[in-house]
Amino acid sequence: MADLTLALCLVGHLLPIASVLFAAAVVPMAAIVVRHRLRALLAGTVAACAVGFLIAGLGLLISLVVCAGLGAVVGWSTRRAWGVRKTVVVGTLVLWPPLAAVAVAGLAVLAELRRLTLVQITNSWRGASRILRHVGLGVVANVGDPIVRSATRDWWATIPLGLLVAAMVCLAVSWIIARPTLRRVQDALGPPRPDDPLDRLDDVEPSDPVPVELSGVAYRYPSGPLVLRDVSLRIDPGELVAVVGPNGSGKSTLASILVGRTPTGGTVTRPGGPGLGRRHGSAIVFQRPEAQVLGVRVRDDVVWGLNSATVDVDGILDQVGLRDLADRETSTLSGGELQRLAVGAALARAPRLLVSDESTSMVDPDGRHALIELLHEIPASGDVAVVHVTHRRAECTSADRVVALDAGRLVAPPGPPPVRSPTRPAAHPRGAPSLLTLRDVGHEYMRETPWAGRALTDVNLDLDAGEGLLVLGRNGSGKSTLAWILAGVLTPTEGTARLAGRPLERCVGQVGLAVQHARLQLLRSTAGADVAAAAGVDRAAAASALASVGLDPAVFAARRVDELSGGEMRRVALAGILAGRPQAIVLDEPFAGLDDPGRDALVELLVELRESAGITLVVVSHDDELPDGLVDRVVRLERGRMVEDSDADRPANRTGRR
Amino acid sequence: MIPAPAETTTSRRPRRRPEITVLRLLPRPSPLHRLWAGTKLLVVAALALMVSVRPTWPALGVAAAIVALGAVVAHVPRGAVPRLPRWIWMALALGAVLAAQSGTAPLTHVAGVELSLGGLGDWGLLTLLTVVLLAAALLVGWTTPLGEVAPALARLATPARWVRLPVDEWVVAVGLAIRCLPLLIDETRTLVAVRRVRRRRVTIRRSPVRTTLRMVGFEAHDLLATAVVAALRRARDLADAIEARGGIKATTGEASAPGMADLVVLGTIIVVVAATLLL
Repeated sequence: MADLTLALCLVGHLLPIASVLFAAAVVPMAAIVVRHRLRALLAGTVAACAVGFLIAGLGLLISLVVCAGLGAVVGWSTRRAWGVRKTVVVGTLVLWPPLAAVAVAGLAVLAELRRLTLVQITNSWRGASRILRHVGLGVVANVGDPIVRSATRDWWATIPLGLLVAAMVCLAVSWIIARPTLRRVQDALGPPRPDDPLDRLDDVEPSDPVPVELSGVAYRYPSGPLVLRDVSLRIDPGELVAVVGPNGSGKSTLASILVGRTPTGGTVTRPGGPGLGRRHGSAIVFQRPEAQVLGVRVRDDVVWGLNSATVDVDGILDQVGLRDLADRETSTLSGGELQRLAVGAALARAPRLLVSDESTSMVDPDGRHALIELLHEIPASGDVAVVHVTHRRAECTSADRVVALDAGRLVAPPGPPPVRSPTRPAAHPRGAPSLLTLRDVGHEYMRETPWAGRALTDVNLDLDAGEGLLVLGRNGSGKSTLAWILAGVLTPTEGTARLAGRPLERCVGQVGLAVQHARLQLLRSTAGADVAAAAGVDRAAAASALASVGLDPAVFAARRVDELSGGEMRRVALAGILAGRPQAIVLDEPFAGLDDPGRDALVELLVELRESAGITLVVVSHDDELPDGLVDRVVRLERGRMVEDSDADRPANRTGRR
Repeated sequence: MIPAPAETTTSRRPRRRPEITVLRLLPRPSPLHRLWAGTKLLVVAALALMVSVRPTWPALGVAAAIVALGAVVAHVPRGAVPRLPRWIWMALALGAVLAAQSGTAPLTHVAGVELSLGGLGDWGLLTLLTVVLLAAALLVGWTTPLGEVAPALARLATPARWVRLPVDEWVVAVGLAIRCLPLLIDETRTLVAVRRVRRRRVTIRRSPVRTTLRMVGFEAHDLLATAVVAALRRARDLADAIEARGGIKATTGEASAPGMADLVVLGTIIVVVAATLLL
């Protein structure tokens, strides 16, 4: 949050329309105040100031402090539902006196800096007034001269007066800009979450989380439906238990109860307290790799929240296979490595119960295998119970026991999963002139700087209308860069990328792009409004686009974006793209985090789109086990190069046929 | 073969957008990299203090010399220097023109035009002071592993602990803010890309000014709200992750501490700054 303010202030420093951006920078600060305590704002301000000072020194720091002050007032006024007038009056009374006092005191102490600044203002005005007289605007110059003269002479009066006006204007502008945004943020996220009842008893109770016995456990979120009902099970030390079930079956709730959340019904019996995050207590690894890493460096992350002297960091990194990366920054790790790091951070607490809550679902296949192997080794290495929650039945085969959940109830474990074979492309009829052409395309980020990094090299690709292409590659293989180039939002540094002969960067919008983080693609507050805005179409067209992706407009058009599930968000984003009638669609990791039914439904939809509408599809994925029929060509990227093309024997001169 | 369309388009690339070169560690290690982060922060603060109290050419010279020495020791390559957007240059040029026309003595005449050397001098001093301070901050960002900033601040903020300010909480916040910067940059890039892909169909030219302004307002709103929601969601995830590790305590593996080199550097800087201020 503080980062966002910082970024906006930074941009504000660099852009001429700075004032508006500073007002925008108030919004994140105000959002903190609306949703949290003032103390959080204080911490956020300190954080933003520290980073801001590192970036641009004192000037940025001062503007950040001012933004925080404005944010506090606007946030508070939103909480109290004040009008603009009351906000301005109260805000001015609160902010202006200290601001003016500090400014006047500072200028009084720094006499030479003050003199230089005032001289600079006088000089600039004198230059301006002379030029004004030259071009026949002497009137303006005559009016301005005495004003500037007395303003610079009586700076001790002008500065506070100027600040008073500035404070009032800034407050009003911030209020106008921030209010609607804050309302939408509140709508999107609902009321601030109450302090989670994750157990705090363990201060008095020694941690001893296993064996844990659940009997007749039920859970209901406040004013929500029952997500778990009558669940009874027992977890013993030294065993690996897999919990399977589709999205929304209550798996994650069960996981949180195992690590200490108090159920709303039934009983949980343990020898001691759950001790979440404590030594010899329980530990949990979540789904999103980048969201649970807290340290800047790998080494820091392992010991985050611990006394570093008591932890054998290298031993733990060895165990999770990250020994060589100990000093790397965590932002440079792949998803699989991040998840293994999260397991490492859990192991640093020598837990007796380790819960993995869908930790494998956003990770590429190699990373997944390594992670499952790791989870498998842990129970054997000590008296640790491991619970692996997953929607992939294939991951259960190595578990000692499988528990299946469906709609909040325990059900009989499903049979072995159907074996998926690697995607086998179907032949695509040739002959049509190619739609997308990439010739010797390469891309280098941050060219001519010490941080230059090559993402793509010599990529040649011809895609026909209606063709389906799967781009495979591991994290960091350049596949997302390729996706962005195909969508025209990134201009390659080498080679040419064309859509029907025109450079792609000038056809932005004609190739749809579905980004991996679907939430960022939905900018309006409801699904229907977003589709309409994305495509520039009316409500009716938006409704039919929603219907075309299998979402009933009657139900979903008015549905808030933040109430959608991950799969539904992807569909709404897709509807927004389709309504704009693109010639091709690029989808970046469209299946990450979806369970089998969700994935199958999306695949079915995409296949239908290709067959009925003749839209060219480019699917970028790390998953080579996609169902047949989706694509008819597979390209594999490795370190920015195309190392495999199922269509390699296709005549490049397109005079011949296969 | 399809006749290759004229390759000239390749050379006519749109102007390269300025890349973010701040807060990135220079890959080549140097003595400046090994200095304690707190030392570098203190030096930047001392320089800022010095030129604020004495904004004069000699003080500027001293500060510039220190920053230049740092840049040489850190092997800063030319490519690392951020490219400024064009309008900054234009603003600077405008300032120079106004100052040159101010008529402040001493004056000189070039090709019949009167130029004020006094005005230009003041303008140059103020501009260069800003540039030198910015360069000092950049230098710290280029040579300091970001992971070392929070622990260094924790040590520097020890006095604040005596008056019972929640320093540890702040240090954790700084650490998390630094940790989240790459995520924010990533999300911002995605948002910008999404906006560009969506924007095409708005027929701005045909609509009247008012409508256009409204559209721009709406769009800014959309982006801002989405960014804030994304940030709040991330904050929620982080809170879960912190909870899963048993709450907020220490933040770093090995707290780096100032060594001999740091004492020498700090001592030298204090002497130089004091001398500049007193002379």
